[in-house]
Amino acid sequence: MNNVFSRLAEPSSGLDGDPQPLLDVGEASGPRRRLHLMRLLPLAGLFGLVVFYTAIAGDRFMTSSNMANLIQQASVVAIIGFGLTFVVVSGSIDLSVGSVAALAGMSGGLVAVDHGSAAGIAAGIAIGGLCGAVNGVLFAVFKVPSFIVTLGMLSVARGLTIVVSGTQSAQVDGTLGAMGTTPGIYIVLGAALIITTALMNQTVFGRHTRSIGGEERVSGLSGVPVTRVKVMVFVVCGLMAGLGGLVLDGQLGVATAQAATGFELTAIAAVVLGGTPLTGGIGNIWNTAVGALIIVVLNNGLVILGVAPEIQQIIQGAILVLAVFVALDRSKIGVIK
Amino acid sequence: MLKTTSLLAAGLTLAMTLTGCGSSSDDKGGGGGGDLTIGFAVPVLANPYWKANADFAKDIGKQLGVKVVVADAQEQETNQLKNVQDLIAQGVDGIVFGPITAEIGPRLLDECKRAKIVCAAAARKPGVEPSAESADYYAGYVVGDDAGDGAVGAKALVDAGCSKVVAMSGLQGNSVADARLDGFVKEAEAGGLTILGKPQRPVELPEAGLKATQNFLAKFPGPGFDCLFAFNDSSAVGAIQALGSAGQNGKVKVASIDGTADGVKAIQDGDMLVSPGGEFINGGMALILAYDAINGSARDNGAVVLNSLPVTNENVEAYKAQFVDRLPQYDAKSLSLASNPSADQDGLKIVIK
Repeated sequence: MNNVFSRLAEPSSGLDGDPQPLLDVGEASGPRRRLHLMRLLPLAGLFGLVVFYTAIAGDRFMTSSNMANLIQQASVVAIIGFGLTFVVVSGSIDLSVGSVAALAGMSGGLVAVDHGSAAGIAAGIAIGGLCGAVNGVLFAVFKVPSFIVTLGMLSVARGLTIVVSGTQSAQVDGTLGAMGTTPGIYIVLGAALIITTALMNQTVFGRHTRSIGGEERVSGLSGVPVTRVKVMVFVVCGLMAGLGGLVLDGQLGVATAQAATGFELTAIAAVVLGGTPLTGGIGNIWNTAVGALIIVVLNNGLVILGVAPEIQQIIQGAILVLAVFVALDRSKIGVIK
Repeated sequence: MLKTTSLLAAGLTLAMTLTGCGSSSDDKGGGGGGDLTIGFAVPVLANPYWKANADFAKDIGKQLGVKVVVADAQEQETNQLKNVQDLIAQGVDGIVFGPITAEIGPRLLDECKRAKIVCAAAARKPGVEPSAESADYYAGYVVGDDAGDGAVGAKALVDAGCSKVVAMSGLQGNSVADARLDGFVKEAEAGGLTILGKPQRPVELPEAGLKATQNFLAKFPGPGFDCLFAFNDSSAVGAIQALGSAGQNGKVKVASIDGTADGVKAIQDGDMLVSPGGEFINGGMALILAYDAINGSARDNGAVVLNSLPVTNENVEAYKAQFVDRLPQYDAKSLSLASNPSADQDGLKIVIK
């Protein structure tokens, strides 16, 4: 298993690794150049939002404190989304990330109260990974569709959160608390971004993940350890969900049984807004970060502009569909499901 | 492989059932050996409010010798309807339900009418007022004074010298969220408070309160507001965290509702002015309504609106001791007309002793 993660990707893999989709536009030409430009659309969309809000209400929107707020607001969804991107790129889905984040956050918070932050953080991440492993094994080994497995885990993890918490909240502080505040939250977010990006773009595991999402049967015939990679994809997703739950604890200063309710849909929206199609095969971590930022920037600006909450919801839904309509790289997708 | 898969699927189903996926659970310790069984269909046990509500109802049931069976709808109307149907199929003598929405209430009452068992509603009016015509199956409801709770928050902020306030509430269309916000807005306007911007909705969870408050701080830099009204303690926790991160704790006064453990801590820490609490006893009180009706001692007025009990730094310790650290101590038999015919018809109240 170790070699899957440790071996660096070889330049001529034969698979579309898409290692630096936002940076190497200048080297492409013709249709290839157009494809690269397509991948810049999420970033362009984010930039457009920022420019628009700055023009309309720059004195309140474009402030250092608001920019810091936006990054912090996006951080948990982004961290969870980083892990979810592996699952989506592999052609599957994980609906349990919000509940797993809550279970990991609650468990980590409770452990931290009795045994300190380090133990709490370790416990939270381990529980996230364990949930991911259960999802992965049920899906990849026992061939239960990932939609069903993770739908079940969504319920099981939320129920377990209630059981372990007794519906009481747990106050968090120390290192665990610092993970959700400045500057800890930036460090965690940056580390998660770098590690998952490297994992996706610079390792055999990342290439195998894309390969399985693109054409699983051919990947298997080509020697890709499909089952093992699919299990590990869910483990990575669970680990990141666990980390996200811990960061949420730190942000709120408290672990609650209801934490991260609905985060699975927000995380999926972040992944999709980043241009990663639910059909799998393509996508990258950096764009998921952009997708998470688009969600919070859009909401933040609408509040600043004084748009009514119900209208905000309509706009946010419409923007999601519009963004995917414009940004989706259809040339790389065989069938739109 | 198929057999193994089937076993795993069965195990998963069992785990989901054990962990509360649309499940019901007997109150094995609270039966008291009585003959009556009353079901309690709660919206969502994951919410501390409803967990405390159900625990209190079990305690009331235990005092009355009633076995209480709790069913969790997990915030799904269809689950709640199914739960009520399942409870009827189990042969319960009565049902207390906390309608997830006002709209599902009449449908649940139809089930009670069809099954000819007595039902009562808790926490939210079921859209139907009790009457002589429905007395055979509808004992009435016990709800909090949602508008009054919102007004308590506004009054506390006015009394604290606030002038500009931002507000957040629950999901649009949720009758509790609407009533709390309406009560707040009316009292705030009457007291001369200026409500800045649009109240943000839906803001019910800590993370939503955090985000909404950060957005308010961006919209009204400085900050341009000196008070904040939160729909519940859960969202207030996030709001207080956001204010603290911005160095505004204490400068911006916060009012909330629910009187949960988190709200009590915020009041003790000086981060919150007021949080009307104790309303979670409505399930237990509705159980008394149902119990009395089943035993032929229905109350003259089944439409019970509980008083609002503001929890502030003046009574927070007593409130914590009586409502948070343990279940509230109510003598169910003295409150029940069936057990105590001379009981006060208007005796169902939230009281710190």
